[in-house]
Amino acid sequence: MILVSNGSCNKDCNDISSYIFELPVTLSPAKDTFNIGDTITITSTFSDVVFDRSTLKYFKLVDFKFYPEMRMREISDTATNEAALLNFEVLIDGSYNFVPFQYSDGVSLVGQYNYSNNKYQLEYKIIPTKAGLFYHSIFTLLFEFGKNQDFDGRCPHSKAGLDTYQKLNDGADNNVGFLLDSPEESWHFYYETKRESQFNRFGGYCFYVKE
Amino acid sequence: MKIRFILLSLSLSLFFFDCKKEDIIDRNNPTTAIQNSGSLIFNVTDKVNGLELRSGNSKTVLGALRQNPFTVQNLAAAHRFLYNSSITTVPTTDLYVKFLPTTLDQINLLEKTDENFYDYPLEYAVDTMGDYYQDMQSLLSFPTLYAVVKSDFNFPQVPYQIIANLNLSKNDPLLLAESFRLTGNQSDIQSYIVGANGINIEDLDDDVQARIPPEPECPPGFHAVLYIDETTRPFTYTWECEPIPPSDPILNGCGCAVTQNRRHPGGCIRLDDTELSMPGFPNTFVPVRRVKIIIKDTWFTEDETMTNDNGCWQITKEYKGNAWMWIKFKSDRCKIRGAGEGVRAVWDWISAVKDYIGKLEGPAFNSIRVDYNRWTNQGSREHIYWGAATVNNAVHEFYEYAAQDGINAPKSGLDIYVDRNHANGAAYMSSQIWIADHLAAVLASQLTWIISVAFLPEVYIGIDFQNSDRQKRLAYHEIAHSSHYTQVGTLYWNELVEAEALALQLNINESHGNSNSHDAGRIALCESWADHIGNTYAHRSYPTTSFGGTFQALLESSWNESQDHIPIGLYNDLSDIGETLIGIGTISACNEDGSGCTLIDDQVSGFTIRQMYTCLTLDITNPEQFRQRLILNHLASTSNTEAQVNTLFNEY
Repeated sequence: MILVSNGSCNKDCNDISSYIFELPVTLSPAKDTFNIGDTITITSTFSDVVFDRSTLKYFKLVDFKFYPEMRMREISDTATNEAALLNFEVLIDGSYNFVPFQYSDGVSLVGQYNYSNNKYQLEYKIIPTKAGLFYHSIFTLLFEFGKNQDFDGRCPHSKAGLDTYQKLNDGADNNVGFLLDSPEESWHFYYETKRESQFNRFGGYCFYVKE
Repeated sequence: MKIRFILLSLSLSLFFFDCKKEDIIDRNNPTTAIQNSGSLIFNVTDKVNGLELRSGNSKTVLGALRQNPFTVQNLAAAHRFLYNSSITTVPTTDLYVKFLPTTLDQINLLEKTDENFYDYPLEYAVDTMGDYYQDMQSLLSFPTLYAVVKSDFNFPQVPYQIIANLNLSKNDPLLLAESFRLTGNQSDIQSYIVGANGINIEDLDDDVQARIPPEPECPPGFHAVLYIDETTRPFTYTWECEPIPPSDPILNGCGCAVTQNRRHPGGCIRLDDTELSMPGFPNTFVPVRRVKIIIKDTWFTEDETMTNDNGCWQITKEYKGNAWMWIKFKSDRCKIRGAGEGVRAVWDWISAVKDYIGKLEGPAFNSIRVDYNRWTNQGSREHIYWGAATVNNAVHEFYEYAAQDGINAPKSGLDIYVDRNHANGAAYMSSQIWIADHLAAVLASQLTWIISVAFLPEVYIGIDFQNSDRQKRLAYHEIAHSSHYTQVGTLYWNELVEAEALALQLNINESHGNSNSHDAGRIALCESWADHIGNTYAHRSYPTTSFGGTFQALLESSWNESQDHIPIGLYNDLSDIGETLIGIGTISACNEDGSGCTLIDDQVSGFTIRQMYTCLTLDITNPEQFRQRLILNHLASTSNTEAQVNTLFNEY
């Protein structure tokens, strides 16, 4: 049974800085090596009763705007390629609002989840066109653009912000050790220091693509 | 060669430093000290052995009342006894003073002297140093404050009493030892005057030095040590060659040079940066820059210095026996105030954050490490220290970034208040008096009443953040306001504060209002500029972030803060090469409040931060005026057309 918090702000408000909503994400097939031309499917589908990792409670989030963003990095070289998404063919169903966007420092997929029937849905497929070592991550900009959204039981905005945790493949290893294969040493430090706070939190998944 | 002598008499036993001291962990004090490989490490955390502590202030426990050996009268008496002289006094170098403030203004005057004040009488021995000694009857009670000031001190308009005229020159250790003996403090002589390794011969009076025989040549690995037996008349001086003790490492864990004189206090201060450090691994912590270090011995001597930009500090003055250490978040660039839970008196809100680090047990003072860990318990004193240290570093980083960009640094001596309960900020600058007259009641709903009514800071920064990058972004934003303020002045800023206070009063988008608010253009211009600088500088400090993306990308995704109000993304669009959508898309930027997204037509690039900043002058009070000024002054130096610039502004 899931207990949905509908109470008013309670003492928890003094103890949290941000809600951290856990958004499940699945990457399949969960292989460590893909061939050029393979299709990789990433889906994130979940009920609108969402688990908050800060209060350990569930909250009903109706038609929330999460502002998800997916970034693909190629870490095969001493300099990370933040525009590695350009080495993939991207397939997104027309029913989704999730599009490639060119930032000054790289390329991302940006947009929103679809919300219907009390469920959030997002799906995209990527097909590698180039060999290399890649690092997939997905995060949201909820803390900035969606921070004013309300839901039952929310503490005052000034007391607790909004954040997300993208739990990929139910918290599996997701080939995090491949970061150590990168010739760029900053990824080795990242592996040691940011495994939970970055890699796991932001739907990290490493994989090789071979010819 | 270093020369020392060791006092033999006065019933003292000699001992040398043993570096294998037991670890010291004070379970009642979350600041734990560990003696480790010659370094004294203070691990400032609200977690001890995995147990979370909601720490409060600890009370100082005093011991016996001591007769003061440093008074000019007692030193003169010692001189008469020791040297058979007839002097009645020695020169006064310092005054031991008691201040008796009765008003908030007087407290503020004392704070402005930059002296170190103690709320316990210094002639008492201290059994346990804590965060306070006097219990206050109410928040508006005023403590009696004790201080040691120079003899030519310019006293503020605060009631005071001079308790004693002191001579703290310590230029004659023999005389001082005699004064200690005559005042019943002989048990302190070994630790306080002689110390474990003796006294520097250079510290002796010329008269004494003249009686010392020539120093002998010692074999390699040995050095000359002078022994004085003052039970004989005249004293007997004997040199002996003794092994040179092993030297300390050249660099400490922070990479700071370690002085080879172990009596010279020194060390480093570091901070757990949630994005750049690894929790529990201080070697990955970042330096705490330009904060004040205060060292005080068990009597009246205190010294101050500042950490450098690497967090390193050193005092080139010898300390013996025990000492205490504080860190004060104050420099010529900023003063950071703030209070944790358990505020006892108004003093706690007005003074710069001052962290009692702990007791330093000599004889080695030269490698002291303080590590500020990330906080766990909101309102704990460790929360305040982490927040103050993070904001402090943001100030110094802003100076560097501003110099890189050619814009003004913030006002010097910036008065900052860090608030543990909020995650927002405000830059009131010099509007305190005006606000107190007009808007105190409005602000009191947001701020601690005493802060809003009595001593409004120039900059207010909430520190309810658990991520350094987001904390710094807010700090940069507010400091950017301060930088802007230096260019537009008080009258302009009063208008901004009034507009935002009115919006707050009407509960419109907190204090930023909307496009129809009073003086909305000014709010839009000032807040968007601070947002731009806040995100830009946060991106320089944090190429990776706690939210997965980058602050630069966040700027590129930003449209207005709310519909048609506060064009956050404008300045980036003026300088960058423009956003492009790959494939089919309908948006390029969103309003921060979630009220909408758009596809911005951005054909503009090349305007610099300096060019934009120089347009933010006193007469520019809204984005439209800013557009005209930018075109007038700087369009020609870019490859943009006026039409392109106009189109971009219209997008917002």
